[in-house]
Amino acid sequence: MTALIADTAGTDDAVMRARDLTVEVSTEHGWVTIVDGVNLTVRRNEIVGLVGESGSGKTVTSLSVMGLLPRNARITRGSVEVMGRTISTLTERQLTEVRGVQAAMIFQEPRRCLNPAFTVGDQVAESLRRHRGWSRKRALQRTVELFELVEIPQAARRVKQYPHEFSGGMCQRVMLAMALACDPMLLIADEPTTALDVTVQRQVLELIRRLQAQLGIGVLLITHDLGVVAEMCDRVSVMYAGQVVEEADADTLFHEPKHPYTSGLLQSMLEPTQRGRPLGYISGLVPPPHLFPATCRFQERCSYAVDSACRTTVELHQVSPAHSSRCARIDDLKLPGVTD
Amino acid sequence: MTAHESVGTKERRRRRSRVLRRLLRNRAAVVSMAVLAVLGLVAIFADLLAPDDPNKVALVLRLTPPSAEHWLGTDALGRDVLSRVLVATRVDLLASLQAVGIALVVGVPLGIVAGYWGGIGDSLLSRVIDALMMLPPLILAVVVVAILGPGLSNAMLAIAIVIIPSFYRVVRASTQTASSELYIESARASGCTSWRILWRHILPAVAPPLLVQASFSASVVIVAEASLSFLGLGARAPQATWGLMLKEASSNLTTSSYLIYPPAIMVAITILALSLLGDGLRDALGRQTTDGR
Repeated sequence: MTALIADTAGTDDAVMRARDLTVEVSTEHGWVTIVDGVNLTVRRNEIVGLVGESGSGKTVTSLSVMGLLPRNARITRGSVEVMGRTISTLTERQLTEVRGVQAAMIFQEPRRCLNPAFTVGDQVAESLRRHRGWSRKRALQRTVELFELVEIPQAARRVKQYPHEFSGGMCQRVMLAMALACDPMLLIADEPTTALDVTVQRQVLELIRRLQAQLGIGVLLITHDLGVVAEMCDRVSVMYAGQVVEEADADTLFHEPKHPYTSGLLQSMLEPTQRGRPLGYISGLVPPPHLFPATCRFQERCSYAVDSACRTTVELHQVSPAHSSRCARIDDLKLPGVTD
Repeated sequence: MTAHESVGTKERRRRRSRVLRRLLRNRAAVVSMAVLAVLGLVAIFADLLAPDDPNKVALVLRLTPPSAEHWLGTDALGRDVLSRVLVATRVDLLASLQAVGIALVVGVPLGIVAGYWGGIGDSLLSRVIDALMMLPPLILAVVVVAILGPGLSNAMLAIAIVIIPSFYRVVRASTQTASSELYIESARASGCTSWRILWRHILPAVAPPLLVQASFSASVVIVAEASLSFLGLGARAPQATWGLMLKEASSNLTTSSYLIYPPAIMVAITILALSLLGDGLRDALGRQTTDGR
C-alpha cells in the first residue's frame, strides 16, 4: 500500500488525491466509519472509475472531495487534495473558489439539479458571473458557446428556455455546461447516467469522454455499472463496505481480477455474446456501516473465504505496480474475469 | 446578445403576468384590491377629504345624529365623525404597516437562518418561538404594552411580537423545503456561497407564502389595534383610530348608537378585503398550479 502511494505521489499532474481518507457519520449507533482509509488519485487526461454497490461509500468519498459532506459527517483521518490544496483546511469562502473553478460535479438526477424558476442559460451564466465577475451579457454569450460545446442543438435559442422544456439527457448536458463553465481540471460525475434511458446514457457518456479528451481534464466517474466502466475508464477503484478492495487499470481489472468481489461483479454482468452462461451473483448484502467486521469485510459473502487467512484484518496487497487487491488469498486464487 | 436579455426578461414577465392573470380572474380578490386601493387613497388624502378638522371640539354640537352638515353625526365632544373616520384610516393603515414591517424584518431573517442552517440555533430559536405562540396573543400584547407603556407605536410593536412567530414558521418551513432541493446541492457544488444561495434560490421560494402570510397578518393587526385601543392600551385621545372611536362610541351606545357604525364598518371592510386578498394570492401563487406550465 505504501508503495502505491509513493507511486501516485511521484507524478505531478494529479488533479485530485485522497490519502487514507476516513469519514465517519453520526448515527443512532454513534459515530460510524463509512469510508475507511481510501487512497485515490485522479490525474489529468484520465478517467478514473469508482465502482461499488449502494452503501459502499462512493458518494461520500466524492462529496468529501468537494468539501460537501453533510453536517453529520466528518473526516477523521487522512486528507483530500484538489489541485494541491487540502480541502479540509480550507475555509468555506476558499471552498467556494475550489468548487466550480477547480473541481466541478454533476449528479445523478439532472432535472432536479436545475432550479425550475430560472432559465437554464441564467443558471449556467450564474457560475461565470460569480467566479469570473463577468457581465450578464458576456456570461450569456459564453453560455451559448458552452451549450454548443456540450452539443445542445440551437444553443442560442435553448439558453432562454426553462428546465421543464428540456429532456433528462439535455438537462445533463446543461449540467455539464455548468460544470465546465469555469474550466475546472477535475470533473466528478456521480452516476451521471443512472436516471437516463439507455440510448441517451450512451450519448452522454460519449460526450463526457470526448470533453475529457478535448479539455485534458481528469474525471472521477462514480458508477455501479461495470459496462460503463469498461467503455469509459482508464483506471478503476472498486469499493466495498467503505474500503477500496481492488485497484487496477481497466483492462487488467476486467481480465485478471484479484479480488473475489470484483470477480463476482464481473460474473454478474450481462454479456450478450455468451448466451447460456448462468448469470453469476453474490449472495447476501453489504453489511450496514455499524456492522462492518474487523476481519476481511467481504468474507461473509465470499465463496473463497477460508477461516485461517480471512479472519484477520486484510491490507491492500500489491499484485503489480499498478494493481492492488485487498484479499488475503491473493497468491493462491485464480479468479475468473471477463473473457473475450 | 441584448436579444437574449430582453427575451429572458420577457419570459420572466410572462411568468409574473400569469400569476397576475390568475389573481385577476378571482373576483373577490379583485374587489378586495379595489377596496384596499380606495382605502389607501383615503389614507393618503385624508386631510383633503375630511370636511372638518377631526379634532375640532364643539360642545354645543355634541352627539348630533347624522345630518346634511355632519354626514355621520358628531361624537360626545362634538367632533365630526366622518372626518375622524377618514383620518383614522391613515393612522390604522400606517400602524398595521408598521407592525407587519417589524414582524417581517425580524421574522424573515430568523426563519431563513433557522431553516437553512438548522442545528442547535434552529432548535433553540424554534423553542422560543413555540413558547411565544403558546401565550394568548392579546394577553401577550397587553403585557408588552404594560412594560413599554401605552401608545400606538408601542401597541404596534407589541402586535409585531405577537405575529413574528407566524412569519418565522412560514419562512422556516419553506426554507427547509427549498433547501432540500437537489439544485441547492448542485449550486453549492458549483461554488455558490451560502448568501448567494439564500438570495437567489431560497428567497424567491419563500416570497410567495410570505406574501400570503403578510396579507393575512395585516388583517389580524387591524383587529388587534382596534382591540388594544378599545382597552385603552393603544392609541390615546385625541388621536383618531378606529379602535379608539369604537371605545368612545361604546360609552354612548344607548343614546347615540349611530356612532358605533362608521369605525366598525371600516374595520370589517378592511379585514375582509385583506383576508380575501390573502386567499386570492394563495390561490394565484399556488405551486401545484405553476409547475410544469
